[in-house]
Amino acid sequence: MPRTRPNWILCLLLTIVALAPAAAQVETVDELTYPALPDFDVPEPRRVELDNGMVVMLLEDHELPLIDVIARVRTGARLEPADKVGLASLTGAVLRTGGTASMSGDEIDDFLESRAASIETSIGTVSGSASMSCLEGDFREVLGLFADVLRNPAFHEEKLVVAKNQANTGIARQNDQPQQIMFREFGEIVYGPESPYARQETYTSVDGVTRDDLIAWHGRFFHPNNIILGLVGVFDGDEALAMVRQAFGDGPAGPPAPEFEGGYRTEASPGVYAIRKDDMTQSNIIMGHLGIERDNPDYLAVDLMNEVLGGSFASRLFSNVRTKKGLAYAVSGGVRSNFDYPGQASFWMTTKTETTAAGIDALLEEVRGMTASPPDADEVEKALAGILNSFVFNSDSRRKILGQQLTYEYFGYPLDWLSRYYEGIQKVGLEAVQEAARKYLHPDKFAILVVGPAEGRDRPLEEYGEVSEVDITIPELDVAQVAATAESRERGAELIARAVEAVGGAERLAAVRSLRRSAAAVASTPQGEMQIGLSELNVYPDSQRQEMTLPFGTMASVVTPEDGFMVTPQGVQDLPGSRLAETRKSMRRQLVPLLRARLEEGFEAVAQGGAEINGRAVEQVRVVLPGDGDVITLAIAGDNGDVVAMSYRGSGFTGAPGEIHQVYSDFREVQGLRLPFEASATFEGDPYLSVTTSEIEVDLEVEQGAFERPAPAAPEPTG
Amino acid sequence: MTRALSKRLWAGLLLAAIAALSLAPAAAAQDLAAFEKTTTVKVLENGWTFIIVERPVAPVFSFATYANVGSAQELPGITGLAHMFEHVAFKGTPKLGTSDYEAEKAAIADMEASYNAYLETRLAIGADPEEVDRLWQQFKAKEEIANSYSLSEAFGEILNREGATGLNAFTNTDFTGYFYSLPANKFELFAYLESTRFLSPVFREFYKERDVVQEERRLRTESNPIGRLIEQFVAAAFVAHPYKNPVVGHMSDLESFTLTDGEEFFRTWYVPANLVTAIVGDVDAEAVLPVIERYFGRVPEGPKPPALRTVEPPQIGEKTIVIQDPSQPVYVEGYHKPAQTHPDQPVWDVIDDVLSNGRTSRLYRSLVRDKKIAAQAGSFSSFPGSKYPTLWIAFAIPSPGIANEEVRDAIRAEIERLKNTDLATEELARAKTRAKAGLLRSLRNNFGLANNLAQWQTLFGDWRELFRYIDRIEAVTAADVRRVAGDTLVGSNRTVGMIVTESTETGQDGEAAADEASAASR
Repeated sequence: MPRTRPNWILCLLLTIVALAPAAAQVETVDELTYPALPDFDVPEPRRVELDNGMVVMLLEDHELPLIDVIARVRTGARLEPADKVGLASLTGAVLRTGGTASMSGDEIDDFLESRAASIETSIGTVSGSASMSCLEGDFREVLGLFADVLRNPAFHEEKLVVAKNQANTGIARQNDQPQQIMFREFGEIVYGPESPYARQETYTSVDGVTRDDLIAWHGRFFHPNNIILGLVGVFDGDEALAMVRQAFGDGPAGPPAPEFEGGYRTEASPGVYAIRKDDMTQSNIIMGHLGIERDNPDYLAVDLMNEVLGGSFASRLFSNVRTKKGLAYAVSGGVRSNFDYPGQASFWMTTKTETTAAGIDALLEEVRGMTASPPDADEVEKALAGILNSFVFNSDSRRKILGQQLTYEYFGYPLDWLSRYYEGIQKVGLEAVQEAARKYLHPDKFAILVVGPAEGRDRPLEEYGEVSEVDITIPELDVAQVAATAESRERGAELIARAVEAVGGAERLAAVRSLRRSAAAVASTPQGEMQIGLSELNVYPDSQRQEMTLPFGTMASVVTPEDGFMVTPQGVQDLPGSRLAETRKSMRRQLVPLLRARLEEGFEAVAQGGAEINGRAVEQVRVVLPGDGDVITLAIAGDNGDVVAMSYRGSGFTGAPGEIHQVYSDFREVQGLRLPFEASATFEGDPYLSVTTSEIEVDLEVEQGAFERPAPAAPEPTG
Repeated sequence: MTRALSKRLWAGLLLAAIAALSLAPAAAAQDLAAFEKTTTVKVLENGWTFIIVERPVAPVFSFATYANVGSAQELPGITGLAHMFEHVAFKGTPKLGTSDYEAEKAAIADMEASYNAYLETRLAIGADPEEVDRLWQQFKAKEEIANSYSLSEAFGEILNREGATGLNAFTNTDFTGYFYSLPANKFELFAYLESTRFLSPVFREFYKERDVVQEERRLRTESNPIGRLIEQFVAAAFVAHPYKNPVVGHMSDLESFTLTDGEEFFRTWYVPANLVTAIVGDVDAEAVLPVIERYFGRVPEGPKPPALRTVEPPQIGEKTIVIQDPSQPVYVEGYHKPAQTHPDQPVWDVIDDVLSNGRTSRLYRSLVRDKKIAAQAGSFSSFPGSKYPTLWIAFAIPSPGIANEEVRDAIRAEIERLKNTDLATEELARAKTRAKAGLLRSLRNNFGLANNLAQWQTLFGDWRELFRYIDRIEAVTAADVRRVAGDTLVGSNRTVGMIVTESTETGQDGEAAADEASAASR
């Protein structure tokens, strides 16, 4: 049965003066008197340690026919290697979605959702979490499944592909929301760019994570002795404990999770940092330096100081910067703490571009004001009264109470930490609050970061110090670091072999000497759609002549191993170096040379899992071409091996780099080769090109001089 | 009523709720009967409705006050004013938030006259900029005098000191809601503050707060790609009904509406008969009703607010809005549909459950799991509002390199499936089970329950609809889904909105186009 904590109940009662309710309505708020708060026993969870080291906490709650289970797991993204950022988070996601030894992820989804139940797992920076929620009648089954997910995950490859896709979507969008940019980049400035408390997933680090990595990560941390399990809801404690023993008790203990120390920069990074983002009418401003850890002996004084500075509508920051000055809707700040590494002492607001400097001044004024006109007795008394009077809300639900206990247990804090807080905060006193402001706020060492339009500020940022521009360009996939497993390579080779068979077989493919395609293309350029007539001759392995009929004239472009030029109405010009390189790359991406390249040293093909394109089930395979290291993802049709789509990094009409995705259809046979006659492409998701082929000729006679530079035209006779 | 008795009643409700989940649909009515025993409804003489639910699990209570007014009640020129008043309602009263109310009142009137003179000059055709600036400076000087009497944030300060949590408010197209939680012994503080805030609000610091609201618009709409898209999408979807206007208001209105406009808006809409307050927690209805009568009964009755006249005409052709934006693609499409109070609403909620609730949902399985063309996809059955005929919307967040058209096609395929094929039995059953469990889970949170009760009372005129809804959703059939989808989810009734990533560089490059033309043909 739950026990009570008489100490803080007593304090609560002593704090509140019991008076009878007034009979008539009062005229001013000061006339109000309050009765004593009703007696309230804060229940305490029962704590049991299983033989294998798993800590279990149980708290009965018979209000509704519901049961929740929450778990903390000793792991965290800060333990992952720097080149695998994203591994912990992907493990946390696929742990749940990737199924178990006995049930697929999809079967688990069906099972849970038909019962209005849920199981979720995730791994954050400092810990792993798992939770389940179900109706009373489903408890046994759902708890069994919960244990199965934590103990026997299958990490199905296809669900890793889905999770990576979601991670990559997040990366692609990481510069869309101004506040996200502000907090992310400020974290890097305060903790350091390499810090596990600030570093970011990249396309490359996500790409490098394999199913084997997930399995290994799970195996390293998910031992019973690394798990704290909490149960709250409508159960009998003994029965529930027996069920937990049955579900988890036979798992062997494993090595404890390693302690993590450091991982952040201790010296401040003062200065002014700017990020230009023009699709905003505001500046997002943040400033500060490192904060403190929760076990700092000054924590309580800092907490009171924060309350005075930014804790409520009535606090200095809100009242002065927002209400009196009207400078911001969002303004916040304080010396923040974490349980086992420092939080940030940071202050932020958003204000129109025209009041950027006024906003910086206003924040600095409030921070400096904490020492220049330190909190007075009245401010501190109000802040303390607010904390004490609202204290009951820390314990107003049993789920909340259990969650707190799990957190204290996980970070090694005393389980009665909340009671100690309640007693301690009343003993802090005015001087300690003032001292906390002096000790933990150093505006002279602040880093100041501004995200927003470069034009239109009231005063230049240089007034606050030398300005460093922060580059937030999203790093592209670094092909050199792409990883793969033995299975995915084996499957990749099988898929390429299928594609070769579909095109006409290895023998036919090897024998192709030349190919000419005549086609009509529609290009969606920034200026609108453009019709292009196209005739393209390839002589394998390395020569190409393209003739294009464009609205503004006819052009030819020729590329051979030795040369690259264009023939335009204005004469003959060399192909610029970048264009020549891009064209040679695009020649290698053609189906015939691409599939032939499988026999070359350095060719890689790695299976990427299933997908669906135009209603056809496909398997994706990522190919790395030898030589230039070009990375191309092919989609191979499940039914007949057709290559139905291809994606790669290319450049758009403006020359800007981006993702090109082509989809092929209308496959026809031409002299023993099966080739697509329709193609449509997108660039960065937008319509780009569509190509309708009218004729393909294979092993044709190549005209003399097709790849030679025309002789310069004789100068016009003069005179 | 004693504490022990109300505890028992609460337990009775719980037993009934268990029954509702495990037994036949008829159990929902029984459930409601039990819940009614813990619930007291009182309509004061002035028309203000109170709903009190005794839930003594901890010595705290939460409340939500709903004013039946939102941005749909605004006219051109005052868009954003419903939300602006929500901010004003935190500014105190003649007896809270001022150092000298009589002097402040005169200074505010003086300031307002000055602002109106400025505004009239500024809006005149051929306005003289120097004169406008002179009047602006004059106004700013008077504003400073008026604000000098203000004890800023006195309302928030007293609540914070007495232990309030979750102090906030919201405005949407339909409602304005106010809420916070207090320890159970501070009931009279709530009654005092919540009644005086609507009995005699003082519009102090009005123009400073209007600056704050402008910053809110810059934050949520102007500097946020999805905010920009939604504002344009909604404006495109509606031609007549005020749902076309943004809740936060157009910037020109936020730079022009006046304190006088605000006072008129308040007088029109904040009459007691247009207000509902739901209170949930450790309260004894018998004991608090006299307190409620004493404080809230003081608010004078007022004329019934006018009904909204404008009805959105039927849409006759598809509309598309495309925003070229430096951010990543986003796709949304919407279809006009009836209001939340329409008998078909449970059918729409089943459609939403089947299409977008969880990992078994059709949009997740098609776009995210199988085709891998989106990181997220879903639908909302009432957007941007629910009180008047509104939109059903579907949306997707495309994966990198995936075009809006691709997610559009996948969404449309799921819509066609809804029209042409009956839902699977298990899909329909799952939707109904989850609706019941959702209601059950909502009962364990004072604030969430207060908010639901106030909203359903305001929308339907009867909070009990929240429980009867379970019976209504239980009655939904597969044929209903096909009928509703087939009638509504058609091209001529559709508005499409999308963000298309704009290239930061420009310039014609026919050669590059031709080069890629050849690449695309392979």
